[in-house]
Amino acid sequence: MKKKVLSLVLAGATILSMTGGVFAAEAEKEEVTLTGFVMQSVTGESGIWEGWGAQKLYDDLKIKLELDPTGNEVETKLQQYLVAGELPDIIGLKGLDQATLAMEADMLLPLNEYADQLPNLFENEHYANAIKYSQDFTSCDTGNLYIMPTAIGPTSYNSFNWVPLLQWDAYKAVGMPDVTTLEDYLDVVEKMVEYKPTTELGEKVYGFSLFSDWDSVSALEISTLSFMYGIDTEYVSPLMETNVITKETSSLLADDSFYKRALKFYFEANQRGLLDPDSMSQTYADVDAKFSAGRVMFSWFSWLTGSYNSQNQNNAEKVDGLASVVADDMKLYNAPAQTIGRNWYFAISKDCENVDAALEFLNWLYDPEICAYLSNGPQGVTWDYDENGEPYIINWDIVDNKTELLMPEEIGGGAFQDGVYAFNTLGPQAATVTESGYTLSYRYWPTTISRNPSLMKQEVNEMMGGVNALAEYLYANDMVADSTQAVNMITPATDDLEITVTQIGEIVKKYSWQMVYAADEAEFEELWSTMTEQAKALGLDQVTEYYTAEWEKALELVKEYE
Amino acid sequence: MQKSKKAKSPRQKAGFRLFLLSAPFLLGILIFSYMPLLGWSYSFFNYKPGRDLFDCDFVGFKWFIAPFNNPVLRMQFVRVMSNTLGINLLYMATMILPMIFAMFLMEIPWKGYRKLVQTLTTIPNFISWVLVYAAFFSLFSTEGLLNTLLIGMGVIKTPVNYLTENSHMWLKMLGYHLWKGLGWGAIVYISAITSIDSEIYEAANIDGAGRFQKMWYITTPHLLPTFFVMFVLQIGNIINNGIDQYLVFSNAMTQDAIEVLDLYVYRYGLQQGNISYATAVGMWKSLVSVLLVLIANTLSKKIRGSSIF
Repeated sequence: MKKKVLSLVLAGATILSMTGGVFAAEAEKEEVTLTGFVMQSVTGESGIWEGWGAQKLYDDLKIKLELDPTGNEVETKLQQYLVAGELPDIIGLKGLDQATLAMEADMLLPLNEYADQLPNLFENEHYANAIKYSQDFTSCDTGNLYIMPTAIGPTSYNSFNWVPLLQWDAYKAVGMPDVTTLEDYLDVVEKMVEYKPTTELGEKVYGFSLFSDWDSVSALEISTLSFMYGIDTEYVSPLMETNVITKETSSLLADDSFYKRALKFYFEANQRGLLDPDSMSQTYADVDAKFSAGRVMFSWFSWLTGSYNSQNQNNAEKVDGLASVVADDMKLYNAPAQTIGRNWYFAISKDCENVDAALEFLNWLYDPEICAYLSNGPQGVTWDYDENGEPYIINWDIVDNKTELLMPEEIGGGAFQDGVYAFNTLGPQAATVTESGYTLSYRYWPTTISRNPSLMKQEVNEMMGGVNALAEYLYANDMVADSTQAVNMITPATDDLEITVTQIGEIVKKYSWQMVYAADEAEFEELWSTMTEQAKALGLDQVTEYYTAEWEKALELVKEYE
Repeated sequence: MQKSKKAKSPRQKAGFRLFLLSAPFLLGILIFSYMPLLGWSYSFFNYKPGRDLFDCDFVGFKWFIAPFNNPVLRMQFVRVMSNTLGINLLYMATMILPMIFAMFLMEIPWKGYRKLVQTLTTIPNFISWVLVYAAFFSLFSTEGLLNTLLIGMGVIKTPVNYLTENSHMWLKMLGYHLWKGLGWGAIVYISAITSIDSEIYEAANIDGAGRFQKMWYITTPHLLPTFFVMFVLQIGNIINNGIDQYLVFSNAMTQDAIEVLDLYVYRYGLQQGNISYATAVGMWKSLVSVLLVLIANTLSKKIRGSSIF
């Protein structure tokens, strides 16, 4: 009885505080601190979640969230929690294989049994497919909802993850040569490095600079070039090349594979002295710093630019930055609409001491209004509706400098990115259209899209034939590979096969890097055949067979969910 | 007569007291050295983290055979074993160096300088391998001191990443090992030298022995027993050469030459989450260790007539 009254009072308090009112009874609710481990937020930061997002959580529910550090090798950390037999209250799970471990250990709370406390999950049409799929196929055959998917919703317009970028100023200086195919970048970049051999500070400039600390089963920064030709080398399996255009899948180590071409590409770059010799031994942070200093000519992720773009793209004297220059024959991978979400999840620990608070929190996190709040900040502070009723960003300064502590103190302070940063993903996709009629995230509002582009963007758009955005150019020229969410419907391999995959992975990583730095072409070929022979001896064919069958199944299954 | 036989002799009484005195230590050893052996049971199951061990499938010797059931894995295991033994044999071959170092150090007449040298050579022992790597990284990486110097002097044109050079890896590892451990290893010999009766040296002086003769005929024989004890102890550790040194210096180029058993267990077992496999390979390791110690002990008994047990 007491509980009911309290929750009624609380519900009232929440509503009032949301509308800006102050309610004295709020103080009656006890403060709760939940612990959390969010694998998908790759950060070394830990402790109580702070900033304006955390303030909102506290104001709404009187909950504080204490986050454990993640950083690299989160998989090992999850296992340590599992071995210890205790998970933090809120768990973000990165990947179905990791989620399966936790489910098999029976350490997650079946959320469907608490459906009445999770109306934002179970009563939202938008999540229905995702929940159904999770109960049917990713619940270890229990039919329960242990893991709640994230990023559910439509594809975002003009948000390609894999885009070839070149340093704009140098590219202009060498006469903007036409790039017809992947290998042409070598010639262009070579000229660009000749034009700009060192930075103004005298540091050496490289054409290409890679890193190895994200490698799992293949040399990831190398294999990832495949996405520029519509070939997935990550979601289905890092040992498979799944072409989302032809819907065919084949082994990464086949003799005619794209991976070999990518290795050859970087091998060639090294032969010409364009590849950073540290590529094999440095980390992402090192490379990011090199990009920031303008020391790398070529980037392969649309976001991998360090701070070089924000420093230079509006510098009228010398417009610079990493700009998209897409080769004529490329078809950039476009993430699929995800009615079942992607394979990052949120879950609650079974041993959670304060289940009610944890459920409240999860319900809060999947509330579309909260998601919008965390993505865009509070209305009147960072954004508002203009005279036509369209949302627009009031203060681009805060948004553009998203890592700087510019949010006003009275709403909790912190940086703009602090809203989503701790979770790295939310329930709905950023491009989901909310009740307001506009997308969840400011990034796809009409006012944002028509916002004055930077000087560099203007020049780049000019080059692409006077378009407004990269997507416009790509679609007009049939250069997009629209993916299917079948890539997210692959059942993880069995334990024994998983061991085979990791054993092959160790071989592939080692020899791939050796191939890139091989002395000559003969050695390159020799290393390739050693690698493939050893991989075959370890059971590569079984792996290929398994994933080929899984892919066929996924292609059938996806029809129900599209 | 009967009575006195029944009553415990003082020696027996003392024995029980001594047992009580040593009991806490025995208990400690039991808890920290023998209890963990229960963990070996994991190697017989298909252990999944978070589950009760007995809920997991019993797989018998599957994980013990796993490193050998295909040619590539066998090759890897052989490579890893030869790295482990090879690097350790090098370490053992150079075990005499701390002793020689200690002998020469003690010949330095000026105490202040002697202390300075000793301190400076001991300090590296307390620096973790991660920091040691950071230091060597700033020396040898592409933008390190060496490259900057060589380019500045015009010796080379493009920088070389020395950390991915894979020639003479064992010797390089030995170099790092000695740099870090020489001073520390000398301590035990220094204390042994100071405990040598000074009358022996005085007698040698009267007999007209020179400095090197004293070192050779007096100091060396006095240090040899210490050396042999250290040597046999090291053999027990031969397969146990730790992981951090190799982990920090390992990359795709150097890995083949420096992946030692502990690193292999870490990489394939713990990092990939296969705890059962890691346990089984770790048990192989114990087996080889025990064998080696027994061999060394027998050799020591045959050659020198004394042994540890």
